[in-house]
Amino acid sequence: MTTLSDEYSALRRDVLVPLAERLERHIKVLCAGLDRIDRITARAKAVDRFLEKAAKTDGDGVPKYVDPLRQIQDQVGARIVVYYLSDVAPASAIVEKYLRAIETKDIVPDSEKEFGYFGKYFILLMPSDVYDNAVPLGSGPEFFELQIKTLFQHAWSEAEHDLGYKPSTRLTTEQRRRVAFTAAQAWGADLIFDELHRGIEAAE
Amino acid sequence: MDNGRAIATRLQSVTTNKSGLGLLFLMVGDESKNEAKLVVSRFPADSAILAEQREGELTVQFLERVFMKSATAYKAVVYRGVMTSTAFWTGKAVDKQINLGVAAISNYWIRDFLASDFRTTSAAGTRRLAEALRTATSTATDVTVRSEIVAAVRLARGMDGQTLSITSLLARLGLSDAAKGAACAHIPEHLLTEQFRLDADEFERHLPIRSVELDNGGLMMAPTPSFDEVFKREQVAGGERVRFVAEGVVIDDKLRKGRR
Repeated sequence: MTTLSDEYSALRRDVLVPLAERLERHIKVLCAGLDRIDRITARAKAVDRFLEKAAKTDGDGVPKYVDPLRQIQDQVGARIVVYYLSDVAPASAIVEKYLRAIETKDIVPDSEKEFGYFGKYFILLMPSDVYDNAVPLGSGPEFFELQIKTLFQHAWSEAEHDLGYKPSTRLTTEQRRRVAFTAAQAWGADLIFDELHRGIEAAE
Repeated sequence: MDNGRAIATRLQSVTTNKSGLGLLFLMVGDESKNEAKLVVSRFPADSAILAEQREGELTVQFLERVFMKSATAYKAVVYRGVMTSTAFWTGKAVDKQINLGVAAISNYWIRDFLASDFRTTSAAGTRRLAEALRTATSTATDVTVRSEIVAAVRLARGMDGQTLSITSLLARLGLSDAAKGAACAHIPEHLLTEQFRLDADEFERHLPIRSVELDNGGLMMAPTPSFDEVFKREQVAGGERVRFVAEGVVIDDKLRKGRR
């Protein structure tokens, strides 16, 4: 019997990985005129991360996804990393101009007393341009997730993700406080670098 | 019934005065285990059954020719998707009433009623079209084909805001098969029929400069929209020879690397 793991592994190999490569190229072309882009990447979600997400339940223990292969929207994820906070808006404008946005949100911590994830987040329709005879239209997911982050937001989220997903132990309160401290530092660095950048630009 | 009534009420609230009475069809069913299918269509009707509910009474008036005025002029959409509150659905819409110059009809159906939009944004579709035409002018070996495509670019600029696909645009402009072939040669087939709204500013952004080269070594360049005003073209009697005349004040004079 074919398991969800088998199905997703085959989909990932045959469709998602080539789609992610094409999507990365496509977004790079769209953003070619933008200044201060550090990197643009796209990836197919790892099998273990997909299965972990597919197994999630709500508060009553009911599975969150009845059809994970069609409902999980970040099977392909892309990220645009820009230098400064004021570079996020031009990158967002390009994304909204050339890609069909289904959902857009600014990720900020719930309370003004907290520090954690920051960034711009989109659910977008997979553009038809990334399909061809080898990966025909309809063979992959309809949607993908795209995040726009500054260098500091990106660096923080990568490290936090790595620490947070260690399967062996859960972070202690003290460790979580330290992680929040680094988030606050990254937030402050973003503000100051952006002020410096805008000040120097204005002087020129 | 409640959902159906809500859909009908929504359609009524966004229907413009340009559309007369309509007959709404709704069909919903399971496509597979987790997938549902919803079909919504609206046919024009001259008249209908009018049911009015008031306190304690229902007044029904039978109005003649309730069924559609035309079975071929309709709007319809089919959506497929997973039946959960977290899923997004995509669908296919058809508007058999759309004609040139009446894009507003389609807009109320697609945007206002269905709260949907084309898969391809105006900018993305227009950019794709502009790049296809630019590639065609640089790769087509036949000068007549290149001239046809340049003329098509001029005409397409006037279609700002119109809903079209690359295929439908080329057909509307009456291009020869050779010119259509050149314009479509570098685009995957599934992109040729994808609908979008043409954005004239975006179109111009990707085709800013037109250049004409003569067999005597002459090379003329000007912004695409004003090229024909900048360089007046005259036919020289007998044959393919032409004369270009330009008048202005010299503001720059440069030497550049050539192609040879």
